[in-house]
Parts: sequence; C-alpha cells; structure tokens
Amino acid sequence: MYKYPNIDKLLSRRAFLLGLGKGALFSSIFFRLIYLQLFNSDKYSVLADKNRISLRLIPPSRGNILDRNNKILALNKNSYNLLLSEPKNTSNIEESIKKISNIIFLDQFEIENILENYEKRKKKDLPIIIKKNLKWNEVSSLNVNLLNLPNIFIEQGIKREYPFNNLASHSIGYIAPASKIDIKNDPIIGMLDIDIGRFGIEESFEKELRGFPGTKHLEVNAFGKTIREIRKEESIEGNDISLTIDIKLQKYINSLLKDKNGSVVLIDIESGEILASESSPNFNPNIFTEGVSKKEWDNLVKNPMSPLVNKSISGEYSPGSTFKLIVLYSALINKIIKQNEKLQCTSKVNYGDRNFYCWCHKKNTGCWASQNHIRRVGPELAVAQSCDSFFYELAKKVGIENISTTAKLFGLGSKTGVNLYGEKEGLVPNKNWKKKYHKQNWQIGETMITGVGQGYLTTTPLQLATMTAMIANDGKRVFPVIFKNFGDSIYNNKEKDSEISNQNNFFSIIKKGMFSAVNKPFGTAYKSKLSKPIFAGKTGTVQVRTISEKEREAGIIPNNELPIKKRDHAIFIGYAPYENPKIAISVVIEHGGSGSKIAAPIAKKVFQKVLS
Amino acid sequence: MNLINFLHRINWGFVLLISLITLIGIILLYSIAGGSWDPWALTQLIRVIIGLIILVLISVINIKFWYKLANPFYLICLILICLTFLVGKKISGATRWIDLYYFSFQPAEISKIFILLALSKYFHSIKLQSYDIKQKIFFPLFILLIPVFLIFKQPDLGTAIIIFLSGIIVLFLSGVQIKTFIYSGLGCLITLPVLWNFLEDYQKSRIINFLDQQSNTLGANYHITQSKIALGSGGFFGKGFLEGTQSNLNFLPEMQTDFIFAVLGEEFGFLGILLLFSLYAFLIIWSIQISLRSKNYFSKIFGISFITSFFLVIFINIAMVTGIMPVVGVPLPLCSYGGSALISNFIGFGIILSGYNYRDNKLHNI
Repeated sequence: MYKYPNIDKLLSRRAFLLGLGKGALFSSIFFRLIYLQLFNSDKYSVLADKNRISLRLIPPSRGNILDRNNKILALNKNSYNLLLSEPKNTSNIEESIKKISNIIFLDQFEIENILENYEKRKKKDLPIIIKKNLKWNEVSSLNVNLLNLPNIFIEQGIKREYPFNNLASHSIGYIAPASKIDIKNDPIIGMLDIDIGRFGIEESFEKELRGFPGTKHLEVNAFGKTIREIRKEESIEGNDISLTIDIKLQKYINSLLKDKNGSVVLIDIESGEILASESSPNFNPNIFTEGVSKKEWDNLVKNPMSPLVNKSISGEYSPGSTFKLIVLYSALINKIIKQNEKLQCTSKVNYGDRNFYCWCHKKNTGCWASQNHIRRVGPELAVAQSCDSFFYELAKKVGIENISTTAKLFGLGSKTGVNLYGEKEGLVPNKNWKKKYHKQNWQIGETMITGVGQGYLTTTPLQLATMTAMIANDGKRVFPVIFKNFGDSIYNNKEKDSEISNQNNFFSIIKKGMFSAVNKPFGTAYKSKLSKPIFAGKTGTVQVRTISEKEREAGIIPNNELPIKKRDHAIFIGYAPYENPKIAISVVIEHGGSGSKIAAPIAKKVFQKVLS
Repeated sequence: MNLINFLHRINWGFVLLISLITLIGIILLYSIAGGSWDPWALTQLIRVIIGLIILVLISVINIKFWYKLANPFYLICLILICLTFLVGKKISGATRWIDLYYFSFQPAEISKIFILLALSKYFHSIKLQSYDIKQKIFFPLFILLIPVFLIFKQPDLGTAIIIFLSGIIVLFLSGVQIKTFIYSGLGCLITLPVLWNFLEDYQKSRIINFLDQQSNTLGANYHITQSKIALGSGGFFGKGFLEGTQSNLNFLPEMQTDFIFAVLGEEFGFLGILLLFSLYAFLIIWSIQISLRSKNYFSKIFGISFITSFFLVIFINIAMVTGIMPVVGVPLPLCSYGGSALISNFIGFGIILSGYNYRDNKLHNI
C-alpha cells in the first residue's frame, strides 16, 4: 500500500504539476498566436480586405450616333426600372407581384420572366428587375405606394433611344441583351449587365461606342450591405460616331420605298460617303430596348420581305442590264470593239442549240431601233436602249475571263469594306470558279448570259452604287464609307487616289450611253428624264424565272399578272449631274417589275430632291 | 465588524486586477457595437458592478459558511439542472434552442462552482488519507458525473467537458495516483467510439468540421475561418479601437460571446493579447499562491481546482478561436458578454478570497 508522507506536500506538488500543465497548454496557444498574428499577418490582411471590399463596375455611358448634319440618331435617355432588392428576404414573390400588378400592368410574359429571374438570382441575393422603362404615370403611382412594398424600389437607369425610329435602322442597328457567347468572349459585358450592339453601326462600332467601365470599391458588411465607398474611378464615356448619312434624305427615300421590298443606296462620288442607305422594309430599333415581345419578334423574323436584312449590303442580286456597262468597258479596253463599231442587232441570237432573246423579242412595240429598222447598233445606242443581242455577241467576243477581271476592277465580287456587319461579296464567276464549285467546264452560253447581267453573277446594291460612282468618276476608285469620324480618329483610306485606267477616254463612251438611256427618246429611262439636274443612268430588269420557248410563242405573261415572287427585279443605277458628277445611286426593287418603270422614277425623284 | 475593519479585509489589488480584465471585455463589447454602449457594453458593466459587489461580499463571509453549505448547494444545483429540462421542454416551441440555451446554460455555469465545492468538502472530510478505491475515486466520480451527464444531455457539451475536467483536477489534487489517470485515459481512448454514438448530430458534425477545416469556408467552418482572419489581419499592433473590419462589418460570428478574443486580436493585435495574457497569468498565479497559503484542505483544493478550471476555459476558448480545437461554445472568462458565467466566476474568486481571509481556520470538527 502506498502511503502519503505529507498531505500538504502532496497538494503542493500536485498544484505545481498542474501549473506545469497550464504552462504547456498556454505555450501552445501563445505560439499559435505568434504564427497567426506575426508570421501570417499579411495573408490574413488580404483575406480580411477580400471580405470587406466589393468591387463594382460602373457602366459607361454609350456614345451617341449622329447623322452627317449632327442630328442625333441614337442617344441615351434616363429610364426608370422597378427592382426587387433583396430576393432572399422576399419569401412570397407571388404576393409581391400581385401587389405590384394592382398598381401597374404586368403581362403574363413579364410575370413569368420575374419568377424565372427570382429563382436564378435568389441564391446570390442579386436585385431582380420587375419592369424596365417605367412610364411616367407608372413611376408616380408606384412612388405613392412604395412604402407598402418592402424591398421594392425604383432605380434610375439609362436606356437607348432612337428618335427617328425606323429611319436608317439598318445602318444604325440596335442594342439588345448579350448572349451567353458574347459574355464568354467578353466577360466584362456580363459583369456590367449591359445591352450590346446587335446590328449596323451599333454592332460594328460596339467597342468605340461602349466606352470603358469605371470601378467602385465599396466596403460591404457580412450581409452584403454597402457601408461606404472607399474609392471610385469614373467610367469613360463611349465615343460619339458621326455617320455620313443625311437623315432628312433618308426619310425622303424611305417614303419613296413605302410598301416596296428593296434598297436604295446613294453615295457621294468624290468622298465615297454613303448619304443614304435604305433597305425596305425596315424595323424600329426602339422595340428591342423596350424588350421585344414574342409577337413583334415573330413579325420581324417571319416576314417574307425580311425587314431584319440590310439589303443594301447583304442582298445579292443579279445586276441585270446594268452590268452591260462593265461588259462594254471590258470590250473597249481589250480592243474587242472600236469606239464606233456597230454590231448586227437581232431580237434573237442563236448559239449552239439555244436561243438567246432580246428583251424586245415579240414585243408589240419592239425597241426603238427595230421600229426604225436600224439593224446595226453602236455602243451608245446599245447601252441606251439596253440592246440584249448586242451584248450577247459582245460578251461572247470578250470572253468570261476578261469580263470577270474588269468586273473585279470595279469592286464587284468582293466586299466594299464599309464598316457594317453582314456585308456580302456578291459573285463574279469565271472558268476557275465554275470548275471549283460546280466541277464543270464553263459554257460560252453562260458568258452570253453573264453579258446581260444574269446567270451566276450577283452584286449588292452598295456594290452597284460604288461601281456607278467609279464610272461617273472616269475610273477614279471610290471606297464607300458610312461614318465620318469617331472620337478623334477620322476615316482615312490610303488607296483612295488609285485609278482604274482610263485609256482613250473609254468612260466617256459609256457615260454617253448612260446619258442617252435617260435623256434620249430611244433610252430605256427616257420617261424619267429631268432637266435639272440632268442625270445619266442605266436600267436593269432581272428575270427571276425561266421563260419557256412555249411561253414565248404564246406571248410572255406580263409582270402584273404573275405571282409576286415570279416578277422581275427592277434595277436602276445612275449619277448626277451629268456634266459634273456628284452623287451616284443604285435602286433595287425586288419583284418590282421593269427597271425603267419602277426603279428609274425613284432615282429621278432622289436626284431632284438632292440637287435642285 | 465595523466598516474600517470590513474595508481592510478586502483584497483591493485582487479586485482591481479582476476589474481590469472585465474592463477589456467591456471595451471590446463597446467596439463590437460600433462604438456604442448599446446593446452589450452597458449591460455588461452593470453585471460587472453587481459581480464585484457579490465578490466582495463573499470574500468577507467566513469560509466555514461555504464549507457547511457545500452539500445543500450541490443538491440545489442538481435540482436546478433537472428543472431546466422540464421548464425548457414546456416552453420549447419554434425557438427551442434559445429557450433551452437560456434556461439550461445558467444553472450549468453556476453549478460548476458548487460541484467543485462539494468535491472539495468531500476530500477535506476524508482527510485525503483514505486509500479505499471506493472512497477515493468512485464516490467522488459519482458526485461529479451526475451533473456532468445531465448537462451533457441538455445539450451543452462545452460546459459538460469543463466541469468534468475540473472534477478530474480535484481528484488529481487529492492524491489519486498518476498511474490511475494514465490507465483510465487509455481506457477512455478505447471506449471513445462508444461515446461517439452518444453525441448529438450537430456535435458530431462540429468535430468532423474541425478535423476538415480546409474544405468548406462558407459552411460550418465559417466561424473558425473568420476568426483566424480577424486575428491574423490584426497583426502585431492591431487595426485600432473601433477599426476592426471583421467585427464591425459582422464577418465574425458570435463575437460578443465566444469569439470576443478574435475582436481583441483584430483591434489591438498581438500587443493587446499580450496584455490580456499578462493579466490572466497574474490573476491565476496570485490565486494559486493565496490558495496554497490556507491551512485547510478545503480552501486549497477548491482554490486550485477552480483556478485550473478557470484556466481551462480560457484555453479552450482561445484554442477554439485560433482554430486548434473544435468549436465547443465556451465564453472567454470575465470578457465575454453573458451574465451567468461572469457571476459564476466572481463567486469562485470570492470564495478563494474568503479562504484567504480565513486561512487560519482549519475547519476541524464541523
């Protein structure tokens, strides 16, 4: 048995042992604190700042879009949005919606949207937009009732507005919420939660217009509530962009194209500036800012006249007879035909086992030449009255390779480089192209068809206007531009002064033909003749269907008796004034009928408006 | 006993030392509230004043009184703990935890003192000379384990552990052989898996979370992560009074109670902690010293076991706040907001001072 020698000693010894234990335990926390506070202080300071500092981006104000006379085409306006601030604390969202819809109207679509957003953003406790762009009366009636609506508040925001609504909508474009792909490519868009440019200038100059976001360093507490602002860096506004478009002119052209399906492009010959570019029908960009409804969207997408397509740059049409100018130039420069050389003109050309008909074939009136029993036709007359058989013969002699080389000189078959998304190249065919894409040899008959601007050949209205400007300019190259400047940078093109060769004044022959087409009684556009300004031009009527030999025998069905889709495209290109060319135009009316009846009068009115 | 005599008996230095520690607590509570006496600092100040009065009064009461009443007080505590079960259950509704906490925590905190008193009296009365294992170990363990089990079932794991450890300390002081502790320690390790099954789910998850700290910052480990950030970011000099971001922006949980130490570390840095540690160390050494000067075993055993228990609570709290122990939910003695723990400690120190004042009483033949 163990016996304690002295109880007091035992107690003291045990107390001492306990003291040692205390010392050991105490050292452990002491060293732990040295580790935390002295050795890892920096690391934890960073973590503490991470806790309390929340970085918020300040969305920049988007640049305005102006027309050439500084009329504002797109601007930012204050808007009022209704927000639910703390979804976490809102247990009954349905009830909140019900309360709100007693005050302002919410349609079913909007309510579904709110509920969907609520589910998505509840976890992160991010604010939910209940309704965007409140009207003034809605704001005031909500203000009165706001006290009864917990967590609901009105936030001032910015919305894009297009004061001219539909006018020049294809060139201006619109803004809409960013897609997932946009956000992936440029995450800052997602962080800012801003709309981005979707079309036209709004899209192609997105970066310049958007500006740079500012930052706010906020001190927040554990519940995410902002306590104070630590630092702020203002956002940098986006640049304003001035377009070359004259909105007044655009408005006039828009009225001329009412109910028509087509495009008018008007460019300044000297500078290449696009004065007006109308694609009809168009759309109202404001509906996208308001939040486009499904019905409105369907109307736009399902409309057979494709209002969402900018036909001026994305529409690819056979140029029809307007292309004859290029064939003629190619013939002249390749010395296939002399300036005054005349060719046999018949209403029908035979090649191989095919017949190639002139437009005047079996027409009651026929052409002026046939009425006057003129059998041999020179270049001027052939252009003026758009003699098909002349150009069938000529194209056959020039050959497709020469024609396509010349066409490319005038900018056909490639993008003009105008700063708009969606520009198409059109197509200038040649032998290689056919081999490559159709795995077939080129046929001479196809050269003949190309000679009158049909077949594989396609061009955009902008290309046609540019080509016309180059002809009017005696071969000096023209590069179309849609904007004058943004910020400090001004459009500058180095190639601007380059020239298509103008040997022997070939352009004057072509221009003479274009003059006669409008101003001589035998011209196809004589009915649109103007005394001031005197303008020159070329009509084109593009056949969109095959006319059988049988139909030809029976008599060709006139356009107004055909279903719309089968009617001809009406085309006119021209420039004015004749003596001192300033502006060039291209008019394309889909399924409009003949170029002389439908397209030329539109050009006439535009020239009259601009130059008198 | 006249007034001068009364004032003369009070150990003013000791009272001042305790007041300084509570003052640190009040300063921190003031800061946590964003520089306001509301809602904690003022209440705590009033409690401290009441507590100091209680301490002074107890210190002048003869130690005989505590010796005599140790057993009745122990029984009252048992009844109170049992009562909280009934009352807590009756009231329990949607706010069960708060109700339980409020009713259960209070008796558990206070009973710590009286369990130690009862054990001290028991060992004093057997004169520490018995070698009978039943007398020396089993009966005191019985006295200890009844309340510990009840408190554990409340459930208040932190307090139960502390009371259990305090009781073991009494056994240790009373001369139970060291090899006994080693054997039973090993025994405990073996039976640990069995005990694990007795734990509540949330208690299990706390321990699991502690062992797996890196994985989940925003989940259950949020507490420890935030308090480590608070302490670490305080550095050597601290962020300054009222400047703690972790505390003032509410990132730190439970900062007025269990995590008040992290606030000290954040605002006053390592320097502030050194100050508090010095005060605590001074208080503990002083208490041990005056307890050992008593001529009776009762005061000695109570004094040393109480101060060791006091130290253990400090250790567990700080070890929890610094992330070297699981979150068990014990407050920092004399600093944390909370009435019962504060009063309980004042009573304990009061009895130590009483033992010192009546150190010559051998408590024979009572």
